Amino acid sequence: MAMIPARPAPVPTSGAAYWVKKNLFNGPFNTVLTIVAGVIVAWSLFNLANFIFVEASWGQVWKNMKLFAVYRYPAEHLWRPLLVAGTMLGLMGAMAGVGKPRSIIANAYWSLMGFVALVSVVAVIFWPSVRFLWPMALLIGLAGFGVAKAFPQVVRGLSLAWGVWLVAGFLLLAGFGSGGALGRVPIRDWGGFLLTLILFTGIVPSFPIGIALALGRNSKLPAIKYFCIGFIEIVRGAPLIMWLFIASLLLPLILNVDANSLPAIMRAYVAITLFSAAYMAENVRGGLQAVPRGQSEAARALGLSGWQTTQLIVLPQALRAVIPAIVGQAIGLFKDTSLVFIVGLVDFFKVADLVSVQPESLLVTGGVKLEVFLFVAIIYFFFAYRMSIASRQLEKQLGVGER
Amino acid sequence: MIDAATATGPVRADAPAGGEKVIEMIGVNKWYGEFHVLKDIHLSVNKGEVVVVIGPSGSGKSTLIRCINRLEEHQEGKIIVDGVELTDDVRAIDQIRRETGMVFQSFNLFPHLTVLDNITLAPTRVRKWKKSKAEERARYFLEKVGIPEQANKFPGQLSGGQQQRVAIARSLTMEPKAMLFDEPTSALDPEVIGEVLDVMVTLAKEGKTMVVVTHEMGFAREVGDRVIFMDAGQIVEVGDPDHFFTNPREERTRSFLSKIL
Repeated sequence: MAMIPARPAPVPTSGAAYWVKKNLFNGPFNTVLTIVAGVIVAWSLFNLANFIFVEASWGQVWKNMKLFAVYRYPAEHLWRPLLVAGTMLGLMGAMAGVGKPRSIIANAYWSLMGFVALVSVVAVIFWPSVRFLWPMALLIGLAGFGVAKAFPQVVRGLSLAWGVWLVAGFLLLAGFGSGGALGRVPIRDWGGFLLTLILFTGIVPSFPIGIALALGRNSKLPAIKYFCIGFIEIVRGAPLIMWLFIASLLLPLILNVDANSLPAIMRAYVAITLFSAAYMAENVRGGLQAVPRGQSEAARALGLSGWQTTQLIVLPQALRAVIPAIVGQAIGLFKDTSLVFIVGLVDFFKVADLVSVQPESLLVTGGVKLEVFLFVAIIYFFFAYRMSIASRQLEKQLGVGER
Repeated sequence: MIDAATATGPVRADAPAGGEKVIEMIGVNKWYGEFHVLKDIHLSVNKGEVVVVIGPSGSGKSTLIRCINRLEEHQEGKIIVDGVELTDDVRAIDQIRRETGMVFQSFNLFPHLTVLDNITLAPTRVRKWKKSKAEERARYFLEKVGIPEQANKFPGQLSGGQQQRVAIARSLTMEPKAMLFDEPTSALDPEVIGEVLDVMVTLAKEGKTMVVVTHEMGFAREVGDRVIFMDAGQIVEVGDPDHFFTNPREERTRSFLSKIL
């Protein structure tokens, strides 16, 4: 019997026109809903655009860009954070250069470079004190990409390079000695977006701590098990703002040092890291439970030790399963850094608050709160959304949710 | 020649005398809480023997072979594999697991590793082979099970029959003294059962020591040296395939066989 050949469908079953007809206009009720929603959306967008481009006074935002970026970091030393940022971009560029053109890291790298390029243009035109520094950061970023493209073997030194960057970057920002180009910049003067980013890196140590807590929770030794359960439940039982407060007061007591010798940043950093670790632990625990028992059985049957089974078979699968949750947590943490105002730190968000009550701001009719906080929201959104995109790409690459 | 439960005690599934015993189970009993799941198991397997275990579900046949490599713990009796007694001693357990390969009903391949990595993982990490040796042996066994071209694919890209064959190759590459099969074809589509059974028949004919829990009676008849029928946690009848399937002694055996043959 002859096989029936495939024929095209008589009416379209895919395509934009089809989607619109099927989802937006497929019936009187939906059609009305679509029109009403469309009107509301258009009207809201019009009002928003009107505010942004016509009515708002962006002057205060514009004038205080340096405060938003680094707050009280001395203007003559701004080359230091920008050098650190540039080298970070360079390392990211190196990772992007050795990999595939549209890899996750490459996409993230080029997004950031686009952002930096935009700021560089603005800096060259409007900001004399940093007019060469932003392009410098951009060039270092590009150099990293170029070097990796030409000499792919650099990938072997990348982990070491990141480690060096972390330590050297911190030292450079802090400085030494009393004056000159590398003079000390007290940590309490680090603020603005620089501070937000630094605090955000707290998610990196929280990752292994969270995994250790999750594994410890499953341990057979009661001491470890109950310590982990206790830690996780207690930390999760209070909001971050409270832990920031407590860390600020308790940490010097616990470590038996004078309260003023511990920089406020360090106390906030510890609180953020441990807080994030507790939530990370629960995410990882969920992932561990999602790995079928047969996986560890097969591994043990092959003779792999318990630790090898966990490290090579169970954990990779567990982590893959909870990437959405982990990145969601990272995005949340990025925004939660705004709570550090409670311990006297001035992060990106707090700068907005301070700018809105400057004397010049109060002179503007209606104040500038809306403009200032809208600006902050847009910047937060850009970074959070970028992380979200990276997460989706990572999920797609690892095949999360597929068989 | 068929052994059946006599008034003097449980049915013993002893291996023929004169052979080198690879697996010995002596008076093994296991409980899940109150439930007595393995009753007075006496079983031994000689090198090169193919022992097939059949029985209804819940009879304890899977539990039996899972006790051999300590995926399940027995509470009474002794289990000796390759001369090493199976106790709580972790070293003994790991040594026994190195020498017994297990093939599972649900394959249990590692989805995040390629086929080749699945197979070379244990030899490199447990037997401490060099990567080159492990890869060479892995490719040899992949060839042996008939799918050398799949080496760089991921398990998710293979059919069920192919996955199970990879699982067999994965266990074989560790060069174990005995292979344990826990219903290896029960989760496969009928049209691919044959390719897996072919591999198992080849292994049997080459003299591999195998303990196979299965419903595939054709396999038992073709290469089985002994067939053991289990029901309700105990060995009911033991015999060689020719007599076992044509003239079983026990009523329970006859009743079970009539349902599946």
